[in-house]
Amino acid sequence: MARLDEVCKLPGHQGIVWNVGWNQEGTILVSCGEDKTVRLWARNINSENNLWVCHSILSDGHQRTIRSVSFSPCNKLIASASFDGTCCIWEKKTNTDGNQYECTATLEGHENEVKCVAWSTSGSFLATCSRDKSVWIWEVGEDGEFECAAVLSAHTQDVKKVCWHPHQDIVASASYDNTVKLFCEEDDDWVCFGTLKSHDSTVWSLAFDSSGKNMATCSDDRTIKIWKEYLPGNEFGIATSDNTPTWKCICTLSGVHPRAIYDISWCHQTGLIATASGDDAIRIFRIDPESDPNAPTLEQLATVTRAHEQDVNSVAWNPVIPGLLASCSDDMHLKLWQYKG
Amino acid sequence: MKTIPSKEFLSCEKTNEQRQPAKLNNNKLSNSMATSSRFSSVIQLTDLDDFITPSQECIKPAKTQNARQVTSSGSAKIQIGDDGSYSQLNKEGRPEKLQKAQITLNDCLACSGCITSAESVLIGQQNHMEFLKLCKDIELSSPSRSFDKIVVGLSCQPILSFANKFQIPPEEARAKLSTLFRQLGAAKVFDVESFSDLCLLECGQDFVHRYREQSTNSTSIPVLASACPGWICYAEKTHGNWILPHLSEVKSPQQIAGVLIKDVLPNELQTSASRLAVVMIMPCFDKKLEASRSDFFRDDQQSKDVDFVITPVEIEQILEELAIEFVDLSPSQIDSLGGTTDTSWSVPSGSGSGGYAEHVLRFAAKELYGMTLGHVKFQPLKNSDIREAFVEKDGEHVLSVAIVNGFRNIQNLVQKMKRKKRTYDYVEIMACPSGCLNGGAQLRTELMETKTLTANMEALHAKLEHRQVDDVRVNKLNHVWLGKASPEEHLNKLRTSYHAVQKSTNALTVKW
Repeated sequence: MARLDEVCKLPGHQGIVWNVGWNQEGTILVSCGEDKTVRLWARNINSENNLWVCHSILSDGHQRTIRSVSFSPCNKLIASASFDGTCCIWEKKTNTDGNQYECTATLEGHENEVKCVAWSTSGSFLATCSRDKSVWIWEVGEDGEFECAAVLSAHTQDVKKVCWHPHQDIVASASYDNTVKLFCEEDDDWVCFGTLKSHDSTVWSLAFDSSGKNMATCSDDRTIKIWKEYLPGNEFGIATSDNTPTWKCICTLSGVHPRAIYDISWCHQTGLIATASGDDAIRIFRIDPESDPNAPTLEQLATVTRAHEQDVNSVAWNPVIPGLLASCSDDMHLKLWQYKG
Repeated sequence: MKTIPSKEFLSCEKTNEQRQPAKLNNNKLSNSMATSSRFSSVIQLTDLDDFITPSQECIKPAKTQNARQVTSSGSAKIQIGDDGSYSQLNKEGRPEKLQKAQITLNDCLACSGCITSAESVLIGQQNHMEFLKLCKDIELSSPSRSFDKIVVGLSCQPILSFANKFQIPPEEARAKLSTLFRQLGAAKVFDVESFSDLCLLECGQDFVHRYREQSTNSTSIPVLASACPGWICYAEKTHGNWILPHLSEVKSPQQIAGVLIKDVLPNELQTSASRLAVVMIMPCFDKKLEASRSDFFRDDQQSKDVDFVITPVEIEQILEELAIEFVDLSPSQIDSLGGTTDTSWSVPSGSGSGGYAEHVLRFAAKELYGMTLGHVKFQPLKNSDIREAFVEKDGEHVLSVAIVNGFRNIQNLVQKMKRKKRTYDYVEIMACPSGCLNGGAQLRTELMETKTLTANMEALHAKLEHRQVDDVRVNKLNHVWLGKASPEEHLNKLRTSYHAVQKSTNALTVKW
């Protein structure tokens, strides 16, 4: 019987915890929240039970809630996005024992609250999105400063999440306008090459699988949808326009979540999908390997109904340790879970 | 599940995140906005807020004058008449007409409150319909007409837009547009570029003056061109007081043309400034905002320097309404500016937005370093919308100018300036990628991709006759248009000032 066991509870934040993430080695957990801090957690190897403890608190970077936080692929930088309209880049201070970070750059420009920040897998770009309906792409300029490479106003409402493709410099954004849009660089500008419409309400989050050919989205409409990329000239007869790939919704899971689903994470190692929901629960799914890849079914493997005392805002699979999941909630706690299949 | 919060304030930001207020069911409009807004993208980004919070107040709250007049049940009864007017039933049950609350376009722009994209579109659309009505009123000598005479100024970008759409030579498009407006009742039709010389000369002189005082004034350099109203609105609203000293105080050719026309022509046309309608044909709706700035309103004569701004997409609508085929219009002459008998058409040498950077570089090179420049080549940087040019002396860059188009490049320039990094001495900033040739209200065809359209427009522009600012021309213009003005008045006519917009305190900016 598959289970999701609680490993530990991590209190510390003084307000809603909005987002969790991991560094590339899976050794550091990063979180952010309403208390305007970014916290870094690691295993304390000196303690007898290898407890996870908070070893750094990054404060004074933002004036309002920090909504999203992310480690760079090179592991040296942390990006944080805040309701104060800016995004901070934090770098490790070199002259200390390695746990001190300082804010070395502030990315300004969004009109209002920034909802998400994400690094491209290549490390060349940063994407931010905001309530001002735009997605901004940033890159590092010649003088080492971050410069705006594109301002993309394709969405018609608040953009909640940006997420990069695992292999290419393609970014997907999810919005209050019920769609997901895909962007890539063409000549010297960024363009929207696809819009995924199917949800009936805000798309809160999205995740690519390890191949980048499948995407999972979760929404306020209480469903999860799986989407698949079809290339031009594909053997399934799916029509594509010009020479751009098209994405189709191949699976919808409804009737399982009684409330909005705020986050979704797709483990690139195990293929497990975790969801964070407004009913305080965490659920684990995977695509049934026996089902048709063009019309798959999702198996529900485990559910923890009272994972937190309030809404679960974010979930993130550890990129290295299979089955280790981090979650955070309105109840001001983070939790770590171990999936046993 | 949500537990009842013990603290009342808890999760206010949370509810803002998760609440689903009634979504304005204007998806169709929003979609059309996204693809075909007439305003520059810079205005769109800074102006819109479809998410209306409950406690957001309009900066023009309606004054309740008749609050004491209530019905016995304690609430006011309002009825709507057949003519669409609102009246309130007073105590005796008789209707009393209610005054409409007035909000001007400028009030709305000054407030970052409730104006939605839908309203921007509606306000923008008013102008060409009002203009058509005016033309009819004048034709019929209607007593309620607001103006008696019309003068039109044609800018080159709309002309090229028509030339490209109908695949005819630019001169032919210009001649046809002249005919169209004369048919509508214009007494005179000018090229706005005829006034550009005055603008450019002033820009050059302004720059040289500020360049010379940079050692004593830290905000004099870089000088940022101010001809683009989209950029000005953004600068005033988003950056405010630290950036405004860098803006060039010189008015745009549109406004210079407007103020001079209103000074000199009423006499010749036997009317007064307030009865003369000045109509400018421009490539974007942002120019409408510029025309309605209070700085460009003459209190003594109660008239605007520019009364209407009409754009190519609106001209198309006018043609449709009047069932006129553009290609069937016969050609007619453009009026020359008195003093110059030259009716040929030439545009300032340089970019399709008006050649500001090129002129300033040339002028400053001459004035400051005694160098006469030949052909000026602008080098693109990481994208074609940011290009730079230099004057070198003894192997060093002594003067640097740039052309910066489009929001992302404006962002990077402004952020660099904020971090006090060295940028350029003068920057020609335009809100639209590729500049005014690609203005928000230029004609688009479904078949042509933006890239091809832009390339076509630039090719057409390159084929026009380009001229540099020439002293003889300027002197003639000065004589006719500014003749009697004292140096101080001269300055007033050609220069303006900017005002930071205070961000309104609304529920969203309160710290939770």
